[in-house]
Amino acid sequence: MRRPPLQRLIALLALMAVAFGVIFVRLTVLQVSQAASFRDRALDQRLRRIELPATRGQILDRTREPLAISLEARDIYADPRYVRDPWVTATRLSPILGAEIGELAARLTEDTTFVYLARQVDLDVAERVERLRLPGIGFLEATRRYYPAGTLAGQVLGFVGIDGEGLSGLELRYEDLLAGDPGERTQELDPHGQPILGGIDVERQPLEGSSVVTTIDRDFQYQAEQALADAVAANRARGGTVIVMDPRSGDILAMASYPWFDPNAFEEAPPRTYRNRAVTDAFEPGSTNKVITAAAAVDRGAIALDHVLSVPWQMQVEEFTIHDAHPHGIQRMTLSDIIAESSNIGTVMVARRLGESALASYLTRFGLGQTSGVSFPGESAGILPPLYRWTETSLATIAYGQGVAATPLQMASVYATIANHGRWVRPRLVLGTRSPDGTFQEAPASPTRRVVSAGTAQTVTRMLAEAVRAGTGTNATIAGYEIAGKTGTARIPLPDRPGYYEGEYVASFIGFLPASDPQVVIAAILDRPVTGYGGIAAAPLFQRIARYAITRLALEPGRPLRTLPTALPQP
Amino acid sequence: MSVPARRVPQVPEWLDGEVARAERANPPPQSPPVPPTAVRGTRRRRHRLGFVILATIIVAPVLIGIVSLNALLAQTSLRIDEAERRIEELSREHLTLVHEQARLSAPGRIAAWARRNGMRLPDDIRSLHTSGGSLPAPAGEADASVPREGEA
Repeated sequence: MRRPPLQRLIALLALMAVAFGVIFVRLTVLQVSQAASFRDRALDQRLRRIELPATRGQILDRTREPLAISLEARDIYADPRYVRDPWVTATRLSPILGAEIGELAARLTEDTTFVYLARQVDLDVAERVERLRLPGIGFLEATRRYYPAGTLAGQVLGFVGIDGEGLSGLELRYEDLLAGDPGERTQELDPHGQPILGGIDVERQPLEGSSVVTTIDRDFQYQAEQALADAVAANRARGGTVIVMDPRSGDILAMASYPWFDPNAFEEAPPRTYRNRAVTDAFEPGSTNKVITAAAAVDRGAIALDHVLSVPWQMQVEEFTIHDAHPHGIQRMTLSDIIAESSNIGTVMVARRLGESALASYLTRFGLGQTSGVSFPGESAGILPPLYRWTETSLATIAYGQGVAATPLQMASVYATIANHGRWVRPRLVLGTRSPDGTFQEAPASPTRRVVSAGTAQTVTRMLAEAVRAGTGTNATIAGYEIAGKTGTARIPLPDRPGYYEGEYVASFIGFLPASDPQVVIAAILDRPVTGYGGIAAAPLFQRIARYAITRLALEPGRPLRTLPTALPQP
Repeated sequence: MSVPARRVPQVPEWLDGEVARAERANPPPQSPPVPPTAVRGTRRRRHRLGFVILATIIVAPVLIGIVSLNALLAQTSLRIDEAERRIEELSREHLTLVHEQARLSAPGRIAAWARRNGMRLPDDIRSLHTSGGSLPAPAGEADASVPREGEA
């Protein structure tokens, strides 16, 4: 027998050595240098991570009554690979879930491993589905946001999306606090998707979100909303806004905008109703702005309180003619008379004495042209033209509240400043937060700043009280109580060109009570009421809310204020 | 004529020492020799009995302990399951009650109920002023300013 040549054997051996060497090197790479990576990838394939939703914190009113709560719910899903008969399954699920059979069947036949059939369903609905024991149908823990009072303060609270994240209002603003920290369950599964006995099964519990305690008084909010809805209907207005505020702390007790919506079913409401108009929409305030002109004039000493001006009914300013609401002969008026009778011409005359620089300065100090800092999503800063763009006409119109725009909240803050003895207080909507263990952490007190002297504020208060007692605001009077306030009837600017709508107005009344010791500021604003004037449309709305405020806040009448010099004939 | 060699009975190696010790302690009697098979059987029975007793003493309590522990664990596990189920039930009940309380205490619902029952907010507010700064006398007490019967 012939022996193989030695060279061949050596070559074969060398080849095998090389082959084994390559295998060895590859194995070394796989088992040593890349071992951790492959191990992790393999583990990752076996692991299933399920997010455990955290319970969202509540939103409470100032008395800790719930305005928004979270309820336990279930998401129902399907893994179409395991659904035996999609049509039969869909037919059985349809009446329970209230969904179309065709729609469900389409989802059950999708080429995927996961499809939602229903989100955030009640537990009893989930239990009914569970009892059917349908293959391929599964359940996930979820929570559902619920607003127990329905439309109440809807625009302030906002709403959350289907995944539980805040989309508007306080729900959006305090998302980080409310959301909490979701937990996670990690399970090791076999190739059939079944948990491996003794495999990894770790659960990290979710952390509940903190609750937000608002400054809103739920009962006050309800009464304000009822009064607003009734006023809108009675005056056939397009909408309206009401703000109730504590001038000392800046706490907003009620904030309502009509038309409103139910955050429980926000998808069904027109998106324009979502806006919290008290904060997001600016309007030309009209005569309610005269309080700033008056306060500035008194604070700067631009006019003595007993100084009498001869006020005509109209006046030419550049190429424009401006006039008072009603024709009259030349009237002798003091500053107090001008405010009480809401004379545009008289206000312009006072503003000219004051000067545009001083007026602009006071408008800014009262908070116009800047956000109030209430920290609400979408807050408008209003429009205050920069001083360098002012003309003679600007000085005239801004003095009586046209050519400048402010939010209802900014205007309420202006009156709160007068009521708070000349100190501006930043309005606030949140009293503090409550952690899941029940610990309440109070929000820091609102910052304040001096705008006018206490004496000026007291003088302006007496003017405003006169406006209610014998001026344009008599419809706001309440027997036994002295109320300080001012009417406003503002024209509405055209959206696309200079000029104003003809015969359409924003009617407003903003005031506070008791005049001698103000404890509540109320702003009542109606959009385009057919009754037109603030004194007719908005003052009764103010009165109704003020009447409730007296009982709700147990307000005492207070002492009567001294009257200011007047040049008008007294009744 | 040759005689076949007599076979010495084989003792397992592990018993060698023991047997030797036993023999030293109790030298074999000079009585007639007992047949070797009978001696081996008695010893084996004795050892088996010892083993059984030893096993019974050690293993039985261990077995009983294990079974008891297992039962205890199972029982505890059942209790935990039961407690967890109860906690879940109560949590759910609590949430239902919170939901119910929130719904029932909504101002709109209360106002509607009040309206149905003929209640309404007052139309007007009247403040009563006391004259002279003194509080009115409590009901039932005589007014000091009014002369009593018989007084001058």
